[in-house]
Amino acid sequence: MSLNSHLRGWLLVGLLALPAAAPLAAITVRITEPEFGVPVFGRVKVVAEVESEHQISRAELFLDGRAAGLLEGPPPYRWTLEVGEDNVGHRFEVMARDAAGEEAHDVVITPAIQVDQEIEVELQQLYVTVTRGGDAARDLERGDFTVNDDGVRQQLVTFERGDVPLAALLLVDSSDSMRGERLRLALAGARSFVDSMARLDQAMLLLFADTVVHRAPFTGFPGVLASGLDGARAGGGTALSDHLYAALKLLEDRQGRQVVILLSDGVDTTSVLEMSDVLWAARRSQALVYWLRLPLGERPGAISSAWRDGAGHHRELLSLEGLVRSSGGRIVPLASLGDATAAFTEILGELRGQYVLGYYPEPRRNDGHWRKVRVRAGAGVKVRAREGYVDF
Amino acid sequence: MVESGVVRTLKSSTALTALAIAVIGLGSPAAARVSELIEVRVVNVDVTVNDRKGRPVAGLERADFEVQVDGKAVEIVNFYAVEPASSPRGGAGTTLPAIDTTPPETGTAPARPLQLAILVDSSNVEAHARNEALERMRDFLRAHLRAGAQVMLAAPRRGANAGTVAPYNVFTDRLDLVERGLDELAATPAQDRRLAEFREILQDIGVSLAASSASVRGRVRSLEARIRAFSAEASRGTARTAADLRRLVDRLAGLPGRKAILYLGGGLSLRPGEALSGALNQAIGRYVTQLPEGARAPDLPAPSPDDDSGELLALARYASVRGVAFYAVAVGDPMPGASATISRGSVEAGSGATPGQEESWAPAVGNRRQFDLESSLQLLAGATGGLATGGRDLGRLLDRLLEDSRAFFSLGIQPPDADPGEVHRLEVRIRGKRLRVRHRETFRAMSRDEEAAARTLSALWATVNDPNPLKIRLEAGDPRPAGNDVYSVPFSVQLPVAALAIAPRGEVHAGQVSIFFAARDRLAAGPVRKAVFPITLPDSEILEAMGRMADYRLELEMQQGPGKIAVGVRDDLDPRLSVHTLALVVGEVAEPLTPPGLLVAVETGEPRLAPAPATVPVPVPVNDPSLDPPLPPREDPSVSNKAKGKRRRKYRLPEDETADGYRHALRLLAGGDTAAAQAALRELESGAARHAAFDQLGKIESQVLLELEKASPDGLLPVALLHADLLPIYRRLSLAPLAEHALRMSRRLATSVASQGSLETRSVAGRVLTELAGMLLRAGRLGECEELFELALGAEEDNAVARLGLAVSHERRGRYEQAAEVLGPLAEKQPAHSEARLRLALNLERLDKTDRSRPLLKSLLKASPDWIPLLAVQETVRIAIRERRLKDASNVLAAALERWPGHPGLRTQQAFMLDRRGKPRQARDEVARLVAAGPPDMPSPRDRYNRWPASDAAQSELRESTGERLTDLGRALEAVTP
Repeated sequence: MSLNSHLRGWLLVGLLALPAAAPLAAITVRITEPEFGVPVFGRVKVVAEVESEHQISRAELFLDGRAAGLLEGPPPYRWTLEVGEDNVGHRFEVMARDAAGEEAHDVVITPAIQVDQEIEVELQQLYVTVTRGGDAARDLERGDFTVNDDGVRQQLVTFERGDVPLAALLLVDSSDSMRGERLRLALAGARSFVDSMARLDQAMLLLFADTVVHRAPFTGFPGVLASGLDGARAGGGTALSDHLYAALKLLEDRQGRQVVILLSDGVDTTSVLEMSDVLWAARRSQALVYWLRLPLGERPGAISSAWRDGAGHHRELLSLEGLVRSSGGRIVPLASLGDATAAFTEILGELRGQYVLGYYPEPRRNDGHWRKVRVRAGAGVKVRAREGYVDF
Repeated sequence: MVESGVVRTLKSSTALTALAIAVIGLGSPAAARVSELIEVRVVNVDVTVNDRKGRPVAGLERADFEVQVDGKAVEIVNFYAVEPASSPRGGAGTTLPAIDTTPPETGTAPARPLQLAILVDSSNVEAHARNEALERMRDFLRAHLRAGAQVMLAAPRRGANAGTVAPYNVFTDRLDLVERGLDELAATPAQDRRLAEFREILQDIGVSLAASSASVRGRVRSLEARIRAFSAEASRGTARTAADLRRLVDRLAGLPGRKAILYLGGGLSLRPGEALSGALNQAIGRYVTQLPEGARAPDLPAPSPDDDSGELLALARYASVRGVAFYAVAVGDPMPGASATISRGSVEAGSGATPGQEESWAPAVGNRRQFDLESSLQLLAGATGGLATGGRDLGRLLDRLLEDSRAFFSLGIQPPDADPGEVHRLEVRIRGKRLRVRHRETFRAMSRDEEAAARTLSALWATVNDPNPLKIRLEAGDPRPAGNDVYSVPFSVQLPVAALAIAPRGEVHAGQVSIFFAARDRLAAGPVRKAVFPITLPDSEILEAMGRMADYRLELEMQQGPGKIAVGVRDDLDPRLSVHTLALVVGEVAEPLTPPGLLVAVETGEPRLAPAPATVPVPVPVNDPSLDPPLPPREDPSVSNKAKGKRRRKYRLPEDETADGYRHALRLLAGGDTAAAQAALRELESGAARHAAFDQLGKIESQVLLELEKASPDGLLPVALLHADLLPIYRRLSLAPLAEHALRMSRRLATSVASQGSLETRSVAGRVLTELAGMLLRAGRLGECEELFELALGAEEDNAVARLGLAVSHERRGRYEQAAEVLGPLAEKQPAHSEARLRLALNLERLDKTDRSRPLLKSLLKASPDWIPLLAVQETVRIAIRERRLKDASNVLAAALERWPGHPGLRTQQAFMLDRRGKPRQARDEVARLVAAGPPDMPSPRDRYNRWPASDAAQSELRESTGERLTDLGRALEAVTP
């Protein structure tokens, strides 16, 4: 069992975190790594950004109240520490001083994972959306659900409603068809998602065309996600498959519920991977994929390329639809980009209302075959969950 | 001392003329600037703040806001919050904010007056949907309109009066007047012709593509032409409505308080042909998949060229800088009654579709159509701080409009370097809170003249409660008949000299007033005029003058009937502005004004001119188009009243002048000044475009060219290139008809030279045709481009660029066999042509001819330029992974990554291959490195493969070869010059 798979098996609920200290007057410090509210183990990189009108003379790092490193001279300030493998919280504090004698400090608390919620790695988790008459049904109990895995009814061992922290990757098409106002509207939607996230949620923003146009790291801070976006410009071809694959891989080692939210019309013109390749990866991923599907309005008559004709593009679009469905996510058609904000918010609401069901799959074979999963929740409701997973 | 005289005579394009006479003007002009003026300008920005659930937020303070102008933070010098006294959700008792001039004392203030213009657009919507929206509007106004708020109801005029807005009332708080307007509007027929046309085309697409394949190609062409015509007409409609909205912005711009326009209609089409083009594409796509093998498929239609985004963006900016917010909702069904189905099943040559197998495409087409109609409204609202609701939800929009007008924050800023006329970008943020803000995105520091003009113009349409700091009075004289129901209307502007700032200067006192005036009558609403009156008073007379009135007399020509004059007087030394209006009924009128209250009656308390109130007024139906007649054309003041109302005759270009103009452009070209020749030709063709006289222009140009062709066929070659060079320019400027004209002309000329020119010139003509074909390929007009490529190859078989272009077009259509056939001879004749070999290899691979494709790919691994071997590597790896030869893939990739270590395509493949080999963590690390690395230095080779393989060198060579024929052109021009 690898460390990463171990971490993925933890269920994080209600972690305690303290607010960062306010900066002092003329000099400011901000710890950018480790991330606030995220448990840390082993070797940890600590990065602090310090700004002042005067020359900055030194920065000192304290770990759990003890001096852990002093750097003299101007920034950058980076330390690498060994914090151990114990499941305990840590307090990182950086104190900086400038030539005028002004001091400032910043604190980041990383919590422990609550031991009573540790779950064995073999536990299979299903994120289940249930609706009744189009509205979220949030009044179901454990006994209302039945799960069939590979045709065998399973015994549910965990049952949760609501706020399991998210790790969301917002994948925004920034190719030629998104130039100008369209990109601005798309990013406004992405911002609204981040603005509405809960305290322990994290998101990463990835703008792509035929290559990465812009990326913001996984963070829970809207400001971090928005930084540098002003310079982002749409243009170029669309390598959707390549970047959807990258998104799934980037989520693999993130804790909590993994979600990809793709904003695109779905037309791929320059990927080196095909959608069937991405489907292969998606079946091995825990991520839910949501697709905010833009109308093909920008490309009438042009849905062909030297790589594939119209029919080929159509097949790729169908594959993408299948991928989204089988992941347990869904397609949200957008009539216009003006609806992007509402759609992002809708998805966040849906994620908040999901049930999380856990069970030990029986019989376990670990032979790499596809296990089909079916979830039921009684009459009068619609249930959506991932359609299966690869047993490996 | 009293002086009088004619100061200025203004000729108006509106048939309104003014004579300004300073009766007590004390009119010696000031010799120099009399005072240094330092002015602090403040720009007010109204900001609406909502929480995450969309509810208005109260309780914020100045320190919570951060304002940036052009990306730089600026200080907030004024701040106050307008907070609702009652329920923020517009419950019972909530009203539109009334006028309240009480100054804010503690940072909060009562609501400012809302000035709301409602434009009801009956195009693109069915009458019942529009009327349902009007009823909801009526309920809303009944519940919320109270004294103080002002509402104007307006509708665009179409037909003979197109280009004007019919006001159903001036700005008023009288519900009965607005309701009467709503009644009248509900009784007018909807102009839903375009909806019907849309429906018909959509239905015909389904029928045509289900019929026998023998005639399908012709039907597709016919449908394409109909879509283009529909698109052009709809685009003109959008432009007309945009112009109407701009007029409403003008009427609002000078009013105090919150200013908003509510658009109520079916929506404005941004790219009107898009939904239908998409439907046709979809139909063709399905049709093609059902064709038997070997059957020829129809060409995909070209994208519709019309795009009105630029026009609407300009309108949004126009409104934004004037502080007018757009609220908009598209009501009704975007394609009512369309039976949007397409036949499925096997369609064989000569047979129809299998009956009963139909699939609805309504959601896709409907979505595109709705997207098209609503994105314009989103654009207008977003840039002005207003709102446009999706989902055609008028109720929600009205609630939000009410909330916005009752709860907002007003921030006053002093923008740095606020040069009048310069547009600045504005951004407001709230520190440390997750709240949503809306505000206008731009502002412009208006000059004092613009401000005065805007307030004067707005006063024509609204009741102005101006404090009148200069204490001006307006008095009207007796109108005198001037013929054709036109009267000369004298009026005077009076103000006490003591109210003016007059500064000592040597032995005199000097000052200056500027008078802005405008009028509207039954036929015209004129522009604002300005007259400047310097004042010079000897010191010895200053005390006496202070007790007197200055009297400035002006005269206007106005049509008989109700009208209004608005005057703004500004003291130029101490820039205070007084705006006053004068409502009047001009001339003898015969019958009562019924119903009363429209236009004239709502403006009470102001003097009326002859005839006296006892005179029987003229009946004026509330929707009488003459209430707001066409705004006069700005560029053609010579049009007489007699010409009005006559049907416009088809414009004809002056043949001789046009031919001379064309020859002039060609002479410039022959002289080697290509830029001047392009400019001259653009001017000539743009002139023709203004009158849509393309056919005639084409004939005249062809006539000139025919003469030249007789003298020297080779001389036409540079002319072909001249027209071809204009094509991308016209496209960039979105001048679609001109671009099509350029394409037609260059194609005709190049084809002519390719068939009749000398042997040497034919190959150059082939290259011109190749360039044209490349433009069509980029535009996705594959059928046309293939035809031109074929012609080019006919002129020069070894034209490698044409051969590659033709192959690309075949690839885009999935015709890999034909692509390989085109490329084979090229790869054979020019083995060093690596692009030809690469394309040939990939097409052979697609055809499973691996015995030929694999060696070719292998031979390209060390070719140049870089994008060729990169693609050869990528494709080799793809094939190897597909065939589960992971070790081979790994080896090829490892070698390639040594040569191009950071290339994202290779790294993506590397990650995927690691994944397939059971190394997911290494794959993840590879992806993380790839994402962190950012964009590579070189462009994407896969994007390059998609593109037209033109090169700068080839273009330069083409121009050089063509330039050699300029002498022929010059000789031909000399020969044909009379």
